Amino acid sequence: MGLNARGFGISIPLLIAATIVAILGTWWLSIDKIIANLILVTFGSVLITIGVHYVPVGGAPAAMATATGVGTGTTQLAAGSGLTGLITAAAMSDKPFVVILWNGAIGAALMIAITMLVGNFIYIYGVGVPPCSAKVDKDPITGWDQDPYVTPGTEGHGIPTVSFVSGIFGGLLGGAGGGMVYFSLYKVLKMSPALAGITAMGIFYANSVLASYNIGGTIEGYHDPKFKRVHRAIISSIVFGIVAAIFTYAISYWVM
Amino acid sequence: MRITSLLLLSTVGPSGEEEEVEVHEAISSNLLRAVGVILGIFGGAAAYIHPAIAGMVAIAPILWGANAVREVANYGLGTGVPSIGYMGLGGGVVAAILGAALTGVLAFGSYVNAVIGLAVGTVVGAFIGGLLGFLDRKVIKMKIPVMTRCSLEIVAAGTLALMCLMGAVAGDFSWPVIHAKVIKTGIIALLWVLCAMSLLHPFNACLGPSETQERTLALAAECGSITATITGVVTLDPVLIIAGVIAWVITFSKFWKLTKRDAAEVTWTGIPPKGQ
Repeated sequence: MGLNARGFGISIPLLIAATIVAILGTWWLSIDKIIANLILVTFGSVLITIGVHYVPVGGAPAAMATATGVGTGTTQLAAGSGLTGLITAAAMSDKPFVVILWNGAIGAALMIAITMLVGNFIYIYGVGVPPCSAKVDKDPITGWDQDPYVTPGTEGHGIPTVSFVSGIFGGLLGGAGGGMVYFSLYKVLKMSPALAGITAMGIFYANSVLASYNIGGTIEGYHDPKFKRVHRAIISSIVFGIVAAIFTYAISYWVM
Repeated sequence: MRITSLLLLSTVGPSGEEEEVEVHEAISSNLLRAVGVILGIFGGAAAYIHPAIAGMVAIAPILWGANAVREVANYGLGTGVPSIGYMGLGGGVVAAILGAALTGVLAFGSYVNAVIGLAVGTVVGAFIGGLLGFLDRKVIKMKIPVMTRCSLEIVAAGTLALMCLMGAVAGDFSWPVIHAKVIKTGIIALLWVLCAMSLLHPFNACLGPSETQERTLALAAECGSITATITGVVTLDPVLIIAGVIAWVITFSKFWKLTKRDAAEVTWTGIPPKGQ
């Protein structure tokens, strides 16, 4: 099928790369501040942007159970999971970098998993629709048929297995990105925890909205054809990450 | 006084080609821009005279930003109007903190420092907004011709409104006070959401075929008044609370009148029953 290879092939290497960056830990404090901040904020931005592409965002159609995904916009989902990730990352701010990063990742993944699970409860028991997707014939993970369960005239409903797994990867990537930006601002640039938190939140939002414009509002997960556009968002987030790194460095320079 | 100028806007058809539509404007956008920038910068810097000044002038940049949101969201963003408001404040908070941090290293006297900080913050916000809009337009290839300009305006307006409120809470637009009273206490997160809501809510609530600029802006002014009132509650400043509530009553009654004017028909539904 190739869809699983695409989905897992992008997310797992990125998570491994982020972990390797995090294992370097205090090494980032020993090199030049500008370079360390530039690398960490840019890489964090890329992780956030790619993470948004994995989250099953259904938008308004999904709120009426006529499209697959969670029934709200990207920005709200990114805010819900990403900010949880930032808070869980910030709770570990005195621990090593790898703990901050993974705590952020797991916090965000847990939040999006709960959102999707409760969403599924409502779709299945409340609305009375089986979770299925009209974008693929068979679920790439379970191999189950999708087409017989799709209500005619809709694009699927609920959160099928592939979207659920994809959403967890999205949470892990987004939370890891948020944790990385937070670490860079707090430890490398030595901002106060509150200042680092609110600035990381701003960078998180700008990146997630760039990503949400790239997917045009709705996406089902990595099996969605729109996922192929991810390279455009990566370029945008790299450019924005560089600019954000420069401005955050200016803030820390003037605050000192 | 009702100056109706025609603005050329274009919408994106389902097939992807850009169509042009004419949209009526009751209040010129240039006026809103000028008033927003001037009142925002010079009023926000006057926070040291009384925090209520900075709190109330935040309405001017909010009007400017809401008008820009209206222009760009008319095309249909595909993600809902809230996204652009959050983007405006996501970039805006970085620029606003940068502007505030700059006042910590300047030494020209309180008012001039604050004016420079506010102006630089707004310019940085405009730069970030322009960059985000440029990326949306050229890299992500959104089919909205005014995206770059409107994104620039929204982030600049959001930055300026946020800085005014930061000044209002701190009582002075200078870095040590802002850091201690706004950022460390976490009030900045509240101000952030208030500003984002004030920018995105007016058009989000009013959009539709019968949307008029006057009504959207009346709602924006009402949102700005609520924002000012909440800022007053946060700082326990009676002057700002009273001024905010008065402004809210005025703008809400204006919005109510315009809603009735724009409605197709206003009828009594039978619920609640008319007491005899």
